[in-house]
Amino acid sequence: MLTNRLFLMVHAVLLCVVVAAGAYRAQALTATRALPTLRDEPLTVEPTYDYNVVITDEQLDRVLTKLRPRFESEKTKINHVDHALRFWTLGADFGDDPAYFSGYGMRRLLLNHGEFAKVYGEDEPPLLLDDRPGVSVRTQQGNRTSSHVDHTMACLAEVGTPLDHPVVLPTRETTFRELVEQSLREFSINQIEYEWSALTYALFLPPERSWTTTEGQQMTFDLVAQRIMRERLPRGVCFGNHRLHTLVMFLRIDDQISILEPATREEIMEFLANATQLLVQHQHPEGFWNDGWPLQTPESPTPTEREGDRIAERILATGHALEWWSLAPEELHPPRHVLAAAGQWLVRTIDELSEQETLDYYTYLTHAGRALSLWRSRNPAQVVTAEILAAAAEQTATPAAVESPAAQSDASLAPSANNPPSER
Amino acid sequence: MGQTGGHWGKIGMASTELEEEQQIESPATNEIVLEPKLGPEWALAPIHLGVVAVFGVLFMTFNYMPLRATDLWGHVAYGQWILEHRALPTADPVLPLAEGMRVVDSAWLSQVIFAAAEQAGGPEALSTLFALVSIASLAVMTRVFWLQSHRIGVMLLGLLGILIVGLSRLGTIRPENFGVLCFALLLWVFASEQNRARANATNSDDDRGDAKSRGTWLPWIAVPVLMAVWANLHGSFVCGLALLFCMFAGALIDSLWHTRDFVRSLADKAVRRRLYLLELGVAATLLNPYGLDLLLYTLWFANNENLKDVLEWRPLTILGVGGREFALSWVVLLVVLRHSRQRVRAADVLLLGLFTLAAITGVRMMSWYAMSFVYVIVPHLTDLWNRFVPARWREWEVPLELDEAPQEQFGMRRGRTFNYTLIGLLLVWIVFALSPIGRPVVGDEPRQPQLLYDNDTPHELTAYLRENPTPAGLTFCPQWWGDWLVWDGPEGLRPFMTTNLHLAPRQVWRDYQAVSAGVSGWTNALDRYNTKAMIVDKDKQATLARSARRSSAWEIVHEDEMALVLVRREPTVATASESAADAAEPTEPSDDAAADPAAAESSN
Repeated sequence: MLTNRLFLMVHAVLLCVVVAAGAYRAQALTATRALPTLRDEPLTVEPTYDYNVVITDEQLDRVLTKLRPRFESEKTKINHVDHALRFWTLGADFGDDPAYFSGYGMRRLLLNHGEFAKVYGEDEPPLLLDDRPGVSVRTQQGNRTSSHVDHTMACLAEVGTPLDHPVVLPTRETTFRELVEQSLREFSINQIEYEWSALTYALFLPPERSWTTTEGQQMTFDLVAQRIMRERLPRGVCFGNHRLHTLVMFLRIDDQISILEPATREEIMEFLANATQLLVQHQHPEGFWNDGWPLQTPESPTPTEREGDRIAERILATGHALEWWSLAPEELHPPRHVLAAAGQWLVRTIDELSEQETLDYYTYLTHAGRALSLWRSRNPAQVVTAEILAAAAEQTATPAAVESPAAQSDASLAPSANNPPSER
Repeated sequence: MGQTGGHWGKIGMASTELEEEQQIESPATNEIVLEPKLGPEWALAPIHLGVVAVFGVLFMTFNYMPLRATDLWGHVAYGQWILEHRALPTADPVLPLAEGMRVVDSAWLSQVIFAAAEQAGGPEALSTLFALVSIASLAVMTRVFWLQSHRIGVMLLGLLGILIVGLSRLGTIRPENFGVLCFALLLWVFASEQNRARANATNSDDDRGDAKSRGTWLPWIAVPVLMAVWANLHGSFVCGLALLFCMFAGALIDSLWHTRDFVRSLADKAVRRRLYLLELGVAATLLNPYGLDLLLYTLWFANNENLKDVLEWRPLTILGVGGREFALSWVVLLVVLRHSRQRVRAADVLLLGLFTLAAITGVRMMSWYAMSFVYVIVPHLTDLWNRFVPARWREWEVPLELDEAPQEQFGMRRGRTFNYTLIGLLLVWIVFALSPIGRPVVGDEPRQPQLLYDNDTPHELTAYLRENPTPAGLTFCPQWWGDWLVWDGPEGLRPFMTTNLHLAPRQVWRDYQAVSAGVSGWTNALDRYNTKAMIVDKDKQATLARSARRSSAWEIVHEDEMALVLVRREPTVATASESAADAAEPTEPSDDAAADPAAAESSN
């Protein structure tokens, strides 16, 4: 009997050892799919150029004043809010004027369901979804939802929202971390829209360079970059410009903390240089582009009715191009006159927009406004001061002729330290 | 030897011996008296010739089975990669969209064998390898049935049972064939053991001692060696572990039934023996390049989401593939068990229960189910055979021995003779000469491609592609052709999908299904992957073919009876704008895509 008991014990131990070894290995293999370690604070990418050929100080004041983020009560579109937050940053503060959002006010609306419900009512389906163990943002389901996959999250990351920032859901309180982590869980390299997700990861992951998706695919920023470059231009949302912007951000982040292999970096540079070449080649003499920017020059100086060539899409194409160039390494820039023509076309066009048109095209205009600010290395929130607002109010009261676009264009093309005559 | 062997009894005799013997023959009668050099067990009876003929026909059938354009070629390509790199792949070498997906190559040894065979004798060698492995599996199983029944009739019924129940898996040429052979060998080990146990129980003490000494060591070597080799051949080695577990658990339950005491049951030698074999088997499977990870990976493998869209990984349905055979097997089982007086062993219940469950949950488990089913039912069939088959019928399966007086029945000598041995050899030669395997020896031409490959193999397509490669970049293709295109198509072809669909990220597989079904937005999905060319199976992707013909974004550059080849036109502003606007619109596979009848192949 003793032998039997000993036999049983030995085999029980053996079984335990095998099960423990299996469990250990299973745990180790599963751990490779665990979420990567994230930075508490996102990285920041600062503008580095101050080209007044693109926009003069005075033009910038005027443009930014016109593009202040309007609070439209329950008519406020969420994609206006997240775009505006990205454009104006958290520092936006327009005094006590209830017609405009402050930076923090916009973030509260996005991340606090209580604020959201105050604006849209308790019956409105929430923007933030409790997808335990994470949080996700309702997307592409109407005006009160986000317009692009992970765009809201990326905007919050770009303005420096830390992972421990509180997030209030209808059901519970949590932090911004859950939003980023949920995006990582759901991410697939082949999903339709990936640019904003990739940008967020680049801001939060370094020095981590790789992670494994829920699909089991080991992801690196090199692979993500390859994915971004995979499709033909102008495929992708906003005529492919978000792809270019994310690639530029990868390069800039790689300058701070290495996230790319040298070969990938070189490939990105080539890809963006090619995009620049196409843009230069197909810029309309007036300075704008449309949906066919990699393929041909717009035919008409005046907007047409064709989708992709209307004024809104011209603003979209031109604003986005100027935006990614504003953060790109200098060797990727076009000749200075291309930038100047584009900047001045935007200024003229924005000046001519009615209030309703400004509201209708607001998301596109935020990219344009952000681009113009970045070219002057200015934070819009610091540009639009109380004095400027007062002056703007005066101008509205007594409409005066604005400086002619042609004159402004000439002025902005004046030689400066950043604008050597040879490049004009 | 006398009359029995006749002058044919010279088998095995050297020519010089023959000459010497001829010199001492009686000059008066001039009759050659031959002495047999082979043992009497080599003398065959007509029933044995029947068995040889059955196996000859089966071998020819297997050898003539055309090679299919499925995952076989992917396995050969993997094998070649392994041979070239002297390493195992860590990422799929042929599926670009699987970059970053971890590969655990559970069939690396089979793939190397496939590649080596292909290098040695071309595709014909693969066909021969398949035929040899398949016939070996059936031969081993037949031996198992013999050991279980000692009735040739039952043995042949068992063989028929395997062929019928496992019909849906018979034409499958892939590493699974090696797994089936290993499973058969493992059953052989246990059947031998049970046979010895029966012999021990019925024989005298002296005989028992002989029997024990003859083969008790065999399982201790066979099981670990077999399991170690199997773990490197195919992921089905878990079926072997399941079998070992059933044998152990069955012995334990049987013992518990008698003793009603768990601790005392552990003293049972049979229980301990089975437990040690199980432990040895588990330990042996760790002898592979991935160690314990292989076992874990294999257990997780069936949970792969993509595989759920593939027919052979779907649950069994009565009217679907394998369903009728499965239903029939259970009807037969119930009838046989109803009338059998044979004791039902716990191990058999466990074995049948486990593999029934496995077959119900996945069609591809039918091979294992078929073998388990027949293994379990044969002892009961033997009981019925002995009781219900008339004795005069059974006489034929008990051949007279060499020294018994010959009897004639139906114009044939009933007993064993070496004449039948020679006829048997002649049959083997005829089979060899008439089969593709013998063609090089008899000077026949190799089979034409139309006969070597099945009708679904797109030869004309790959011939065209070799002359006119698709533009550099990704080429969309039916997954069931992907492996063939990589194998027989132009060098550098990058398929969108192959039968290694379990390695494709979920999104890629879903997009593949959507495009394959020709759902709205398919061209946009292809653009998302920057697909430069498209190959369409006109028969199985008819909706896509119709849609592709109408698409202004794609241009047909080749069409044959089976396939369309299209290349992406250069985009214009209009199409670019359209596709850019569409970019935010997801393409979701429809029910049609999920039910894609052609998505019936997967690797492994």
